[in-house]
Amino acid sequence: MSIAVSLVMMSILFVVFSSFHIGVGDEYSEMEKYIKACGGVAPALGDYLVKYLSLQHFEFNVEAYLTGKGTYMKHFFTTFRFVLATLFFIVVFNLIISYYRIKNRRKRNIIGLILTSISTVHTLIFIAGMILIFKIIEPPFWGFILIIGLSNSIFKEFYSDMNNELDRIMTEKYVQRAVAWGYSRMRYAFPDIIVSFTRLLSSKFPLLLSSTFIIEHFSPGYHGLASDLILGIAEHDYFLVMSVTGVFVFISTFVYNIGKLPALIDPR
Amino acid sequence: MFLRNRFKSIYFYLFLPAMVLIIGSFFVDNRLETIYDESDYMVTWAQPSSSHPLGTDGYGFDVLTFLLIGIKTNIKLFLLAVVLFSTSGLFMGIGLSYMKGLSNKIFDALFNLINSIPLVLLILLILIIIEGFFDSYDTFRKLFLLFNVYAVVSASKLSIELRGRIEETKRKDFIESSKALGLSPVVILFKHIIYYNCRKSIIANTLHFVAQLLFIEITLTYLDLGATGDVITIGSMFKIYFTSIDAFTTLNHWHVAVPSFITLYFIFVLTQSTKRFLKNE
Repeated sequence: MSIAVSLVMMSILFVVFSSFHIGVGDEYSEMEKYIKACGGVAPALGDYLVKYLSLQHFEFNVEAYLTGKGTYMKHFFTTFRFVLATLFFIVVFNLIISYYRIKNRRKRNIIGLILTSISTVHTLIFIAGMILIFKIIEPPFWGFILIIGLSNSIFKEFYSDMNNELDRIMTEKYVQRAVAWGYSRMRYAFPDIIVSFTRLLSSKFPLLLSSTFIIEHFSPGYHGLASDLILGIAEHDYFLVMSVTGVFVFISTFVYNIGKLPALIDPR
Repeated sequence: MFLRNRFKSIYFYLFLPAMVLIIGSFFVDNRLETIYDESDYMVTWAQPSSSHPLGTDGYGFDVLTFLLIGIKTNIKLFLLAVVLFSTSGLFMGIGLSYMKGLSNKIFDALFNLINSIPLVLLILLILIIIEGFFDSYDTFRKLFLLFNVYAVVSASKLSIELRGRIEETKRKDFIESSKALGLSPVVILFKHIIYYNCRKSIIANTLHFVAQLLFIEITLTYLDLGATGDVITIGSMFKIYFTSIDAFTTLNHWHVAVPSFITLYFIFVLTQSTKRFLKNE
């Protein structure tokens, strides 16, 4: 259903963006050229996605990819690398802090409190702070992961949601009954934890994508989807804009639906 | 008595600088020339003095004038957007609470769809549409339109929250009593439901929206898609100082941190205000 709705919305956007080319002149001819090449018919969503990811040039040929014809594919992987690494960082770090919180229930979770307070800072202010305090002008890859993961309330939201979910799962009658019967608590709570985690991670995915816009603009060394989109807007290249938007929508919808999949493990 | 209580509150002193800056910005001429008039190009990185209360930056610009102009432009950009957000959110919320059946489901699906688009992507999409339709407009008008369109689009969040509150309040006993007393439905809705039970959440949501607008403006300007040329905003100040932020090697160059601290301070004030409004909710 969500895929269908996304596709409908994309089609509406295509119509809107295509209409910009009426009367604009030869200046923004990239899309017009492509439409002419298609025999005067506006390209379909699939054409945009294939063209953007350079699959028609790529032809599953490693040599073509390495010689630069798969440039956009590289950009796609850059963004994906950022997002996946940040997700991994958030999950691992949160698990460590939550383990510490569960083990030391009587103590106040100072680390969690500090990190969640820092996390409320916007990505841009966070970068400015890092430059001001630590003099890090060109952070390494893991530095950017730290910035994306900790800033923009992503860490805070995930931390509070995850702890609420963990508390809910651990106090469930189903799990408590299993413990009373002498079974492992983790064994019975695990499917629920996986379902909750996947749902939480998929819900934070769009937020992480948004943060990459600032990171890619800050460091020209990392050229990803966000840089393509900004370039497209700045140069009025609506073909590029539509292609990147299509990829964004596709990824978001895909991850949203992946978030639903683990529910099949445990229908409760 | 009312004022005396206000003076005792720590929040009064926290919010006072923000009020002074906002009121002060009304007395500044926000033309670009004002910065040049107030600037002394021979004196860069000057420390605070009577002529330059916040000193001068690396270009010799008066930091306070720059800041006040930025605040004034931001107020101009956000004012109508804030009004649009609260009013359209309110009326959409009322409409949704009285809708039933298929139309309710359609609006639900539409609002969920809008809210699921990543914020930056949504802003950029609105920006592209405005760039396409209003290409001849100047930067200020384009940004003004962008924030107003975004206000209407994001009012769906407020309307969803209001719908829940209105539906919850409508089920309470005092509404039945009001009907029995012969009060008109309009009075019950606007006075007893909206004013007495929903006004705090409308104000809190609006304050949160202002904070969001501030960040959006700064982010857009940083991405070279926002204020340019003679449009001076907090975002453009942030961007100009951000490029020379590595000059903050000694405390003498503290001026470059002013936009960051001011943004943090405004966000802190808005967040605290939101919390205070929702304290007893």
